Amino acid sequence: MALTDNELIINANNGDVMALEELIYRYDKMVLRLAMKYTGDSDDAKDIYQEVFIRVYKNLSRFQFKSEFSTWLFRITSNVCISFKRKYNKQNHLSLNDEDNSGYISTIPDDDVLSPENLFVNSEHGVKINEALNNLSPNQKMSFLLKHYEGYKIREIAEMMNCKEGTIKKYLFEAVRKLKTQLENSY
Amino acid sequence: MNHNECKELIPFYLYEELDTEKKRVFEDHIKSCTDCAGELESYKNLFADISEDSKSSIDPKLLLEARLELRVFLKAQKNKISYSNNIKDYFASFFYKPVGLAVSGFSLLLIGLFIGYMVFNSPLVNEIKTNYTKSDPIRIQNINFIDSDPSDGEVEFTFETVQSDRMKGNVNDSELQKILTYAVLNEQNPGTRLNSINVINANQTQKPDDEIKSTLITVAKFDNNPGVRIEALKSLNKLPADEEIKNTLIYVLLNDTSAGIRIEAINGLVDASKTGISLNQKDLISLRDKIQTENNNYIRYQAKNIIKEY
Repeated sequence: MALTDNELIINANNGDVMALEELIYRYDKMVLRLAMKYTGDSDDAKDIYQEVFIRVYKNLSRFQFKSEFSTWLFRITSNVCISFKRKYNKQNHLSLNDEDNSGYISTIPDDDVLSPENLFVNSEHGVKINEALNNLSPNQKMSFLLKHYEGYKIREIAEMMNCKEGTIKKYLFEAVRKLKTQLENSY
Repeated sequence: MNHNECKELIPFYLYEELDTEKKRVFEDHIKSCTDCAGELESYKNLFADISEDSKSSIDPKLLLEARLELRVFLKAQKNKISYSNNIKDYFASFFYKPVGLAVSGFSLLLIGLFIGYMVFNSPLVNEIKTNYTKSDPIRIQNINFIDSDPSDGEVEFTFETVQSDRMKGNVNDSELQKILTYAVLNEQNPGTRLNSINVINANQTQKPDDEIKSTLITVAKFDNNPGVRIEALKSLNKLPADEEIKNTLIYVLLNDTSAGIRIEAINGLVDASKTGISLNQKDLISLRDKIQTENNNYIRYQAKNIIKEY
């Protein structure tokens, strides 16, 4: 019989490498899918994936068993995604406006990276949805992805993103409204 | 309920996040308001549109790459904290405290007594099930400089300490099996992964170990070497079929780029069907789709045969 998440955590904390791997493999597809949807770029998604599980590895011994492991994991994932986007936007913004932008130039993705072939989508329709998603704020986007693609309840998303339910409702409502406006205009 | 209130609730209605009372009031309003009913329809279309996009799944190659990179990082992390440093630090902490010195002396005495007991009380001749020796000296490898500039008098680097061990024992030995299972997942050399699978396979009979089965499943799906994937799949096909194995076979059938491996998967599915493992509606749809896109005649033929049974 398969071990529960909590049993795997205890074993992993006792140095059982296989337990840690099993725990990671239970959820890593979801984390990668979310990161892929969030960034629209496979290299960025891999960076987020690495960062999330490195944080899991480093902090697993401090896991309190007060929430589900999946909730804790997605809290880390949403933090990493949101801070990743902020960092990326900030660096991109600086590189475009500063006279001396040599230090940031490597953060600007080239055209090839942003081409539809490299995105998570394989259709024109999917490209439009990705473009619309990219126009959402990081919090709106994360709330929407967790709700729409991962199917979490608002209460759970609030716990993952460390917000009140009302705040998540606001993000979600704004996200859906913006997507509707943008996708209606694109057809 | 007015129109604005109603429109604000539409996404939450569609996400089934309204409580019973709000839902009833919302539905009553929709029944009597064509404007809001139209708005609800347009949101339904939007949701259907976006959900269509959600069918796209993660590229297994990307997942494998991400897993391998993570594994490399985790290995490097573990090597940073070497056991020898831990032991050294532990004993070093006693040296400056008189009480600690007494404690460490007592501990050494206990260890000596324990070793003496083990040496002189163990039977001298016994059936050796597993012979595990650590004879070779520790080797240092993969030195990576973090700070290679000696101008400030300090440098910093990471390295791996490796000690060759040898194990000889029965293929059924659990410790031996555990190490080989680890090798199947972690060893860089595909030949070693293959050999490990073969040994593990020799032990799997009617009651497979869950950990080994789960390892074989991961390898069958994600190993980057086709030879290793097919061996893992063959090993899985020898185990008593169950839901997890069936799902793996379907996954491989739908996603693997090698026709030989897909053939092994479809053969496994045929055998699983014979042993009473049934396919659900989703599996049958996947098989029908596969028939449309598969270019290998044998796989199409076998997939049709399976579908005919339902």
